[in-house]
Amino acid sequence: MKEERFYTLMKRLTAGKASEKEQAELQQLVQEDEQLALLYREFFPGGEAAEHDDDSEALLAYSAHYARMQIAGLFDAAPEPARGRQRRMYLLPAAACVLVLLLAGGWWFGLREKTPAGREVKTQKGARTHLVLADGTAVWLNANSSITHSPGFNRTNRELTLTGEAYFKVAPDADRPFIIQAGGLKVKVLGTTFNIRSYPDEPNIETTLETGSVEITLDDQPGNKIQLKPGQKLSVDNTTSKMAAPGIPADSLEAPMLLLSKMRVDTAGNSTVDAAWKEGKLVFDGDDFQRVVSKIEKWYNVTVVLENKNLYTTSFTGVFDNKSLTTVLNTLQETGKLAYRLENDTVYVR
Amino acid sequence: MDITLLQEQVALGRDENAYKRLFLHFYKGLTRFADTYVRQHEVAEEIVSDVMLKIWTMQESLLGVRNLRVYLFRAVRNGAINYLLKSRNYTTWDIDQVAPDTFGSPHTPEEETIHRELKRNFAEAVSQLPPKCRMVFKLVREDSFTYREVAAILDISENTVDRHLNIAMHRLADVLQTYRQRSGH
Repeated sequence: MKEERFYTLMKRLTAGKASEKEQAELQQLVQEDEQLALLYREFFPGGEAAEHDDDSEALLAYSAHYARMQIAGLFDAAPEPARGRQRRMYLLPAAACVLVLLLAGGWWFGLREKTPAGREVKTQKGARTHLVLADGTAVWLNANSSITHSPGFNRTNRELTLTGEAYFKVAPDADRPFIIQAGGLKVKVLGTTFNIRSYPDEPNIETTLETGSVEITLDDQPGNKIQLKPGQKLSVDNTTSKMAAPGIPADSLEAPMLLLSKMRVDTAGNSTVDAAWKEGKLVFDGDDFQRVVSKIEKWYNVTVVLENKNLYTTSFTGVFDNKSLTTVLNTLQETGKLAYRLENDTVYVR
Repeated sequence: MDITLLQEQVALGRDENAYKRLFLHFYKGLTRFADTYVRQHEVAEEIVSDVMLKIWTMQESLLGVRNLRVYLFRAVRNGAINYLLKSRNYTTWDIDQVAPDTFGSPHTPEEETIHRELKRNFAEAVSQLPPKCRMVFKLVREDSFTYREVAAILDISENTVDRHLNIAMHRLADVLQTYRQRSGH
C-alpha cells in the first residue's frame, strides 16, 4: 500500500538513510497525494527561503556585539573603513577611554518629542546651573541644556530626560535605579558620578564615567547592555541617518554601525576632561573645529560663522579656566591656523 | 557559504569580516534555539553573543571544531541551561521539559487552503508532542539537522533521536488517517 511505503521512506529519510532512488520514490508519492505532501512538509518545510527574508535583526545584533568585542579589547580599535574624523581619534594617546559611534540618524530627534510633561529645568546659551533633585541627586547643567522629569519623580521612579550636557552625582538607592534618557539611549545608573553630552546639533552622544558604574542601552537594541567602568567614555554617533533599515543587504553595511576607538582622558586632575566644564573650564580635547565652534557657541552664546572650510579638519586642544570669549579667540588665533573678527554676537572665522 | 573557510579565516587570519559573516549566518537560528529554552528574547540574544564571543577567543583551536554549526547550537544550549539553573527557576530535571511552543508554518502553495483543517490538525498534534520529542522535531525540521547532529546538540543517543521522531511520525500518521476516514477516503 502506498501509504505504508510512504511512512517507511519517511523514516529512512529522517534517519538520513534514504538512497537517491528512495528519495525519488518518496517525491513521486508526495506529488500524487496532496495530503501526504502536507505531512511531508511538516517534517521538511522546504527551502531556505524563510531564512533569507530579512537580515536587519542580525545586523543590529552584530553592531552591539561588535561594540562588546571592542570594549572587551578583542577587536582592534580601528575598523578598516574609518572616516577622517574617527581616524584622527585613533592617533590620540591610548587611554582607558572608550568611544562608540552609532551611525544612526534622525531617530533620536523623534524621540525627544515624546518627553512626558513634567518639571523642566533649562539653561540658556552662555549659562550654566547647579541643582539638587528631590532624591538628593546633584546635577550640573551646562549651557543650552535641559532636564525634564515626570511628576512621579522620586515617588514612583527616578527617570528623567536630558537634552544637552549635564554632570550627575547620583544619590545611591539600590531599589530605584536612576535612569536617564538622552537621545536614543538610556543610561541606567548604579550610584555614581558621570557626565553626559547629548546636544541634538552635535554628531555624538557621549557618556563619561568618573566613579561607580553605569549601564547603557540603545533604545533600538534593548537586549544589549554596555557597562562602563570608571574613566571610560562611550560616544554614540548620529551622523549617518541610515539606520539599519529593513532590507539593507549585509554587504552594504561594511562600516559597522557601532564603532569604538580610544579617547584621551585627563591624566593630571581628579576629574575627567569631560566634566571640567562644571568648574568653569572650557576644554578642547583634540576636538575638530566643528566641535570647537559648537562648544564656543554654547559657552558664550554667540554665533560662529566659518568662512574657511579647511578648518574642519584641524583639531585643537586647550583648557580655558574662566576666560573671556576674546581670550579664547585670541589664543586660537595665535596658533596661526585661523583669524577671526567679532561683530556684535557673531564671530567670523577664516 | 563556505563555513569551513570562514572558520579558518577567523582562526588563523583573525579576519573580522569573516567573523561578521559567520555571526550573521548563524544569528537567527541560534537565537531562536536559545529562545526555546529561556523564553526571553533579550537573554537569548545575550547567550548567543557570549557563544560568538567565545569562538573568537578560541583563536587557532577553533580549527579543531569539526562541525561549527553543531558546535554553536550545542554551546547555546549549554549557555541556556546554565542560565536557567542559575536563575533558579529550574532544576536539572526541568530542562527536559523545555520545548518550543510554536513552529513556523511550512510553506505550502494554494492547496493548503483546501486542506486547511488537516493542516490545523497536524499543527495541533505537533504542539501536543512530549517536550523532548518536540525539541528533536524542531531541530530536524526547522534547522535541518541530521540524527547524529541532533544527538550531539541535545546530548542524547542517536537511537533516542530516532525514537522521538518515530513518535512524531506516528502521531501525524494517526491524524492523517482519522482525517481520511472522516472525509470518506
